Amino acid sequence: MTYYYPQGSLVFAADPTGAHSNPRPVIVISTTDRPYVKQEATVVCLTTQSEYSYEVTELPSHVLDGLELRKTSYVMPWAIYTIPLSAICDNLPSGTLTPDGLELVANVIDEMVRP
Amino acid sequence: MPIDLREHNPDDDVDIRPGTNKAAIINLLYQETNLAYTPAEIQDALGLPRGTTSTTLSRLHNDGLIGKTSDGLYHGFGHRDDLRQFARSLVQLEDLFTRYPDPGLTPDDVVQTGEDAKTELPTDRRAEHHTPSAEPAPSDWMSETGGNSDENEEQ
Repeated sequence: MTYYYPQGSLVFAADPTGAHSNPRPVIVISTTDRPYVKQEATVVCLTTQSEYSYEVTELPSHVLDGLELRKTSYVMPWAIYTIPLSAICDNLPSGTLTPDGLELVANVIDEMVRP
Repeated sequence: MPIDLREHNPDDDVDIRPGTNKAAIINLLYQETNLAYTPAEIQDALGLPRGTTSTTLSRLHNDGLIGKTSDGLYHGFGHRDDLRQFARSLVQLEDLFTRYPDPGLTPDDVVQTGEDAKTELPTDRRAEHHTPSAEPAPSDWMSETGGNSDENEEQ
């Protein structure tokens, strides 16, 4: 099966070096229209820290489908990466954002890049 | 070992796990596909055991993922844009973990309550092909039309 993670997927990415034992939670922001959709995804990072010089936005639990976060989590719009699809752990919990959640993430990124 | 062309498709997905020896070698050889390396140079650059290096190189070569010159040097293929792209995404993945090592949220902090996110790719997106992504040199691409910033600062 050729698979992918749709826009709005909340997944864990594994550290390729093994230096950090904890996988990192990320949200997929790319769509199937991106190039190389079969091998990579563009993601934005989540964190539980809220004290940054740039404002972070909370991801409320009601905008998640398929999973529940036990800690308050925030979107870091400046931490956007293209990662290999094979780095996403398919044996760990994953879920998707609701349309409202997708809108929230889009607005957070939009606020950062819009002049 | 010969490759069965009935089963071989050069456009197959790149299915290499980050963190493996295969990924490390692809990452090295596809940073600059005009450079070729001896197995010893690859071994030194990546800190791999000798036997592991030669075995992995043979597998990658047999799978058609890397090239080998007649005098035994290994290299990436200039036309394999997918593998070059994979190598770039490996670099970004390493950067992600280096810059943001502690997310504060582990898999134990997340409860699966419904369907997971993994989804079958629509059939119309499975047969995508990519043209090489070579970009023009900066001087061919754009030119300055006003004063440069250094001059502006001096004024």
